[in-house]
Amino acid sequence: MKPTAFEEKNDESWRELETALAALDRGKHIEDAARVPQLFRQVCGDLALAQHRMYGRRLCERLNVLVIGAYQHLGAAARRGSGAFVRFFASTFPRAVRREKGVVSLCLALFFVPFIAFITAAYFEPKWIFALLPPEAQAQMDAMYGKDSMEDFVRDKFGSSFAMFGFYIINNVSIHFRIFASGVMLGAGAVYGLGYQGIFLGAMFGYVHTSGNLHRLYTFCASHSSFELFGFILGAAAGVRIGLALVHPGRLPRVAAMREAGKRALPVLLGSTMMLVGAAVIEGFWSGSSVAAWMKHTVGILGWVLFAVYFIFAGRRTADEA
Amino acid sequence: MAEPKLDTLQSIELAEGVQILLRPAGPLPRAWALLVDMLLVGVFFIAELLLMLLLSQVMGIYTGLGTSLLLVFITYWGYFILYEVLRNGQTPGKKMMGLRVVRTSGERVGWGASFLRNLVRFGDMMPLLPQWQLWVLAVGFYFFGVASCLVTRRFQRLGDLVADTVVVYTREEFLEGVTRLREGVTPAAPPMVLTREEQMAFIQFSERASSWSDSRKEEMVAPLAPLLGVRGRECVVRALAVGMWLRES
Repeated sequence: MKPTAFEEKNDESWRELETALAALDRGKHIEDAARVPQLFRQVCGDLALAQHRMYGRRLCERLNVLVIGAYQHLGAAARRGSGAFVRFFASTFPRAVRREKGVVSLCLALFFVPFIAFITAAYFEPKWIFALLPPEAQAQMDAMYGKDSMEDFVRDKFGSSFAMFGFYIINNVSIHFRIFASGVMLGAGAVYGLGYQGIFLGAMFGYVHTSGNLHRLYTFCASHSSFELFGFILGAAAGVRIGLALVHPGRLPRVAAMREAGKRALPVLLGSTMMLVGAAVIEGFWSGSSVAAWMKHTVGILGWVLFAVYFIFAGRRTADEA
Repeated sequence: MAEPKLDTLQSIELAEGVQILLRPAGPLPRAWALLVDMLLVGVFFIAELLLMLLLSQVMGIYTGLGTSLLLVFITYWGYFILYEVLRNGQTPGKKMMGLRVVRTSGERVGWGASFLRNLVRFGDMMPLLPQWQLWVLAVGFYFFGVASCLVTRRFQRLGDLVADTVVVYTREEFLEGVTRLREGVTPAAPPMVLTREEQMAFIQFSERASSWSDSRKEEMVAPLAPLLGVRGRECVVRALAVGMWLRES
């Protein structure tokens, strides 16, 4: 059969599929959607024939575009509904974190070792802090957590909790994303980001320990600390996972190792992002509010305990579906 | 590894038993698309600033500030993700350049893949432009992305590698360029039996002939001179005739 005859014979059904796909591309609802799979299979056959019979580039390209378009619409994932959300937090996320326990432990150490070291160092020798915190930062810490700064938590009087929430979202979640992304650079970016945060926060806490209002600092930070610090650390771990795939791909080629690492890192990244959003909610609306200090402390301690239990035990009984 | 190829076409076999061809796009068209997208993000930012001023008047300064901070966050990190997932792999810039993000399997890109590739964008855009670094909102030179594009077969930046995606052309430039054979060339059978690859070469030569200069065409068919028994201009006409004959029969 000549290409022109082949084209004439099938043109009608190709056109039908082309119009259907154009409508779907614009997000329209089409009447005879049930026809699309049938037309798709037919056009697949046509493309295979055209390729085999060497009907030429123009015809093959037209069919190629048509097959790809239909394939993309048929392959679109069905909506997974709210069950997926529950399942993610009940098992997928904690399981993904446990699977990465190596890098997660590494990142925990990368943050907490300098953090605690600096608080301890500052306790014995405050010079360490002055080496790190510039005078402006010290002044700011004085204003927020100094012994004399007595203005109480008045933010919500101005209705500013919401503004603080917005600020924490854009600032903290952006930093979180950036630490993750810089992990791709051989993991070095994430390591640097975590270590930097650890040292800097350690110095700030150390400063308040020596010359500030400790009660006030811990009352403010307690409730969201578990969400925020765990979230940062897990995001960094997800980045280091991908960075390590480049450094140490194991038995896979590097490109394949990165792809696999991406799959493993994705649930960790998604879950930790949700933790940071949670941290921003708590930090914006609860931590600065006038709730009694002991309640904030309780929530803070509970947060750490519950997260530890969650990551160690949640989803263990789920069958290996991942 | 497969033998080196002349073109960048990626052939993928579907479960339906048919091969589709993806044509990955190189760094340059993608850079243009990115430029358009960045301008659009800038427009969004300006709109959000105006909205903040308006909301501050109506609902108080802190509500306005909070709302616009959230909107800026969603625009900066979500612009690419939302467009790519909801518009089947096309941000406005990509649409303008005729590009689309797809999985390397040819399927459409989903939330997870788009989220990954657009967060790793921050790594791809290193080193950052120092004077453009506005607080958490940074713009960069994309050295890492370009370097990664140049060393991978499918022009993938780091984000594409992690998310297993590729940016492809949606339409075929060649579709219009295919030669309608000129008058004066009458189809003629080849002087001997040809293999599939040889037939393919003749057909493609006749299809794409109009995109080359005459001297280039003569140069390309020069090795065929002993086979077809003529040289130069004549040889081109004979090769075209054979290609046409193969196509039409």
